[in-house]
Parts: sequence; structure tokens; C-alpha cells
Amino acid sequence: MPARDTRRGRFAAVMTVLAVALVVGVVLSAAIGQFPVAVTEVLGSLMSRIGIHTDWAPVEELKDQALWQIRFPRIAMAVLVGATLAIAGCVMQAIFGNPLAEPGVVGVSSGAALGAALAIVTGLTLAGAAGVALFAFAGGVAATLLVYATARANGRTEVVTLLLTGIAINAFAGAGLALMIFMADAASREQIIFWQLGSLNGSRWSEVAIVAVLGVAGSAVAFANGRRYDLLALGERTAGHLGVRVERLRILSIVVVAILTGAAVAYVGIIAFVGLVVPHALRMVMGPGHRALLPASALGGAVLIVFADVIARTAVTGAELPIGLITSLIGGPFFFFLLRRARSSQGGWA
Amino acid sequence: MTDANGTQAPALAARGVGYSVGQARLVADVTLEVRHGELVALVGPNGAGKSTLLSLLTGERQPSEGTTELEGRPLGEWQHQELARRRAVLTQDNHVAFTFRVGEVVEMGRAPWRGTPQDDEDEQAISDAMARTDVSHLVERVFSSLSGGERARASLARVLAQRAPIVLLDEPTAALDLRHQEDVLTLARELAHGGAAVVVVVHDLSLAAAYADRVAVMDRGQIVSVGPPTDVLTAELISRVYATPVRILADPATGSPIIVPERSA
Repeated sequence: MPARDTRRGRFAAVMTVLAVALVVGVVLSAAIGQFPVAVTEVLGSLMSRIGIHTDWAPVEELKDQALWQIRFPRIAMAVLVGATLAIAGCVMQAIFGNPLAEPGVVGVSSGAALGAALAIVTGLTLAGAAGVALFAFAGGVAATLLVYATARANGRTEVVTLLLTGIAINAFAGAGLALMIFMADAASREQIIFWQLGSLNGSRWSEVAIVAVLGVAGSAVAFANGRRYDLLALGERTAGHLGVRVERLRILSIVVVAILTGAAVAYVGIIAFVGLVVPHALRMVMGPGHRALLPASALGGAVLIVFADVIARTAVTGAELPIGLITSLIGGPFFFFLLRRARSSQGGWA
Repeated sequence: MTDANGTQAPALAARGVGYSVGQARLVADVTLEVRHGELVALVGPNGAGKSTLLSLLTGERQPSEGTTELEGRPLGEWQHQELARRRAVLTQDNHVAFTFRVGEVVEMGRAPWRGTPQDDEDEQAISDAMARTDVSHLVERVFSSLSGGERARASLARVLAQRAPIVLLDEPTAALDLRHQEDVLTLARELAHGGAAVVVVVHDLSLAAAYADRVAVMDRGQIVSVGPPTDVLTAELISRVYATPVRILADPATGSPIIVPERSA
């Protein structure tokens, strides 16, 4: 069938372009910074770690350390966070049957941030870094369940209801965060403010490992359900008639969204709109089929965050912009554009 | 699918079925059997409980009283996937989220057969279903950009592609023009005469009369009459159920009843 062939061809092309962009972005990001490292040195250092010794490897020990202790964990975090946020957005849109559903917009991210802030302020970080992640996850689950329970009617979610629910949850989580900031000491306060803006600064390998485990687990579940997400587009009843156990799929997916968002938000804070912009842009290029959309979104999210991080680090000399600022700068106008389109296609807001 | 006596179990059976939501009894004491090879039309005024009864027969809702069976086995005992291979359902809501194309939507009807020997039939089932519902030319179109009638036919193509021996259609003709209404009912009859059990909810009584083997008339949650169209569709019954006087004419060519409201000049 021609429809499938063109879409398959586009999928291959999109994946190739994104993979190349990701490699370029990663190398670029490792080379650029206050402490410039040549591209050849980046490649040489990477190769020497996997046992290929070349003349390219940096001569100075300091450079090698800077790469492996500061830049590479940061880049790895950027890749993981971008991928998990984009998949979380994609899954959320599938279960709500609405392209405007996104963890940041509907308040899941701020729920997770509130959880994390609670852990920071109350000192419930017994398990170290994992404690914060756990609380972020709990906050994300609570917010997702709340959205889910309130924004749906007859198996569908109206745009207005979804956005209003998001406003309510963001307002509530915002108040909670303000309270945490009020109660916190200076150090915790700084840490919480960092949440709201989002930053990849100071990412450590131990944190990268936790995000990687949660991200891979969550993504695996999402990928395994790709076909079922397609069927959900027919509406819950019809999906059920085609053999999908809708209720189970929904609950599973909510947990996946919360795990992915919680994992992403736990260490880098709120980076909004990734889950909205990436799947939507890809849907326009290669169609809405989830078996292609999910992996492409993972790659696209990673590319977006890696490049956003390069901009965050280099836009202002001697200082670093919060990455959440960059993604919102791109995502805000995009969201506005989507709203206009949704409005014209649905003939109003009702 | 044959019981102890060697007779074939009905495709669908409702025995003393009732369904209540709070105080409201949407379906009350319905007993109905639908056999393989017959087309049963479910008619009745708005709010009579037709869609509710249909959702009880699909297993989507559990009856508050009585039992529902599919091929002799209680609906509650069927696995989701298993059920999807035995019966296909067309609901009234044929909205598709995102920009899926018609070809992709029809292909979704093949989902229950994934990983079975029958998935070799996918291509054939899809193109066959699209040809029979007259949507082959729309294969590349985005589903949500179609007109109401085109959507209804494309959704029906999805149901046909499922190739289930039991088919339930909830108002498949609602958005269709005259020709496509006839086409859809002809198709439903072909399915039935090819061995499927087909239940169709329709509003047009003359259409039901022309195509159905049996007509079941629902009124306030109950089936008030069921049988061949000429027996069931009497002026007295229809006038009472619909609370408006009607005349029954006979089609000059086929003799099948045509129901016309009594209008003053």
C-alpha cells in the first residue's frame, strides 16, 4: 500500500537525519565551552576509552578529566532527558487522544518538581540522589492521576478541560513550591529555584545511571505498546472491540509517563515543551503511527536538548542560561501555533 | 459451536437481560437470539435502549440481570483478543485522533489477527473491505479530513477487514446518502447470507424492512415485537411505539412494507 511505503521511507530518512544531528550535537557540545577542546581531541578521548588509541587523544590529563567528569556526563544527561521527555509526551498524547497533552503543560512536571522540593527541604534524601528521584516520581504520579481523573469525559479529553486542569495543577504545585522555598534554608532554596528553571549543570555519572535505568525501562514499555496506542486513536470503545484491554493500558501508560517525567525532572528540573514540540513536528513529517513515532521522538528529543544545552552554555559569555528558558522560548510560540490550529479544526473551544 | 443436542448455538443470545443505571432501567427483560446467517435489524424510537442493548451484546457492558452469550459461552468468559476475532463492532462515534490515513485506519481492523496464520490475509482483507464500502479511492486521505458519509464508510471498511463471523453495526447509515444507505444494507445482507450473524441498528423502518430477515422493535428498554418484517411492522404497533400515526404500504416490486407517517394535506 503506497501510504505505508511513503511513510516507511520517511521514517528511515527522519531517523538517519536525527541520528546524524545527534552525533554532530554531541561532539559539538563536548568541544565547545569555557575550556575549548578540539573536535579531534573529543573523538580521540572517546576512542581511547574503548581501547582504540590514536594520536587524536588529548595530551593533557586535565582536558581528558574535564571531558569525562564534566562534559560527557552532562551530554549523556541531555540525551537521556530529551529522549524520556519526548516519549513521555508522546505516550500522554496517545492515551488522552489529544496532541496538546504534555507533561509540562498539564502539570506533571511541576508535580514532580514539588515532590523533589519536598524531599530537598524535609531532608528526606536518605537514599541520596535516588531519594529525590523517588519523590519526583511520586509527585509526577499524583499529578498524572489527578489530570487523568479530572480531564476526561466519555473516554476523550477536550482541549479546554485539559488546559484548564493543567492551569489548576500548575497553580497548586506552584503554591507548594513557593511554600517549600519559604521554608527552606539558603542552600535548599537555591536548589529548588534551579528546579523551576532547569539546568544540566553538574550532572554526575551516578545520576545519569539512575535516569538511564528508569528511562530505558519506561521507554521499553512504551515501545511494546506502540500498536495499541494506534488503536486508541479510534476511541476507547473501538480499541476495546479490537481486543485492547484499554483500562489496563491506560494505567500502565500513566505509570510510564510518571516514571519517564519523574526521571527526567529529578536531576535537571523542569524542561517544558519537549514532549509537545518533538512528537508533533515528527507527526507532521512521518505520520502518527506510534511504532515509528516513539523511537523517532526519543531521538528528536535528545537532539533538541543537546542543541538547547549548547545554546544555553554559549549564548551569554561567562554565564549559563537555564535550559528550561531555551525550550520554553521555542515551545511557547509553537504551542500557540498548535492552539490556533486546534481551534480552527475543531471550530471553537467547546 | 454445537451444543449437546447437536444443534448450533446461537451467535448471540440475551436471556432475560436488564441493565440499570441508578434508578433508570435502560434495558429490561430482553430475550433475543441471533443466529449465524441472519440479518436482524434493531429499530425503535430515540432512547428506546437500542445502543445499550448492542453494548450488552458486545460484552462492553455487563447486564444487571440475566445473561448474555456469544456462541453458547457467557460473554464474561471470553478473552478480549478472542472476542475480537469472533465479533466486530461499529459504534456511532467514528472520530479518529491524529492524522491517520484511511488505509491505516482500515488496517487497524486487522489488529486482532496479529501473530495468527490469518495475518497473511491482511492485504486481501483490507483491499476487499475498502472496495466493498467504496472507499478505495480514499486510501491516502487523512481520516479526519473526510466528510461524515466517507468516515462512516471507512469505519465500516475497518469493521469488514476484521473478518469476524458476528457483526454489530450501530446506525451505520446515519450519515449516508440514499445510494450508500442501500449499499451498506446490501453489504450487511451479503455478510449474513455468507454465514455471518449481523445486527444492525437503523432508524429507517422501510430500509430495515427491505433488507432484514427479522426486525426487533424496541420501546422503553423492551423488545415489544420480533419477527419477519411483514409480521412485525404493522401500522398498529409502529403507531403506538413511535406515538405517531403511520400507514403501511407495500413496495410494488418486492412487496416489502414501506412505512409512511400519516400526514395531513
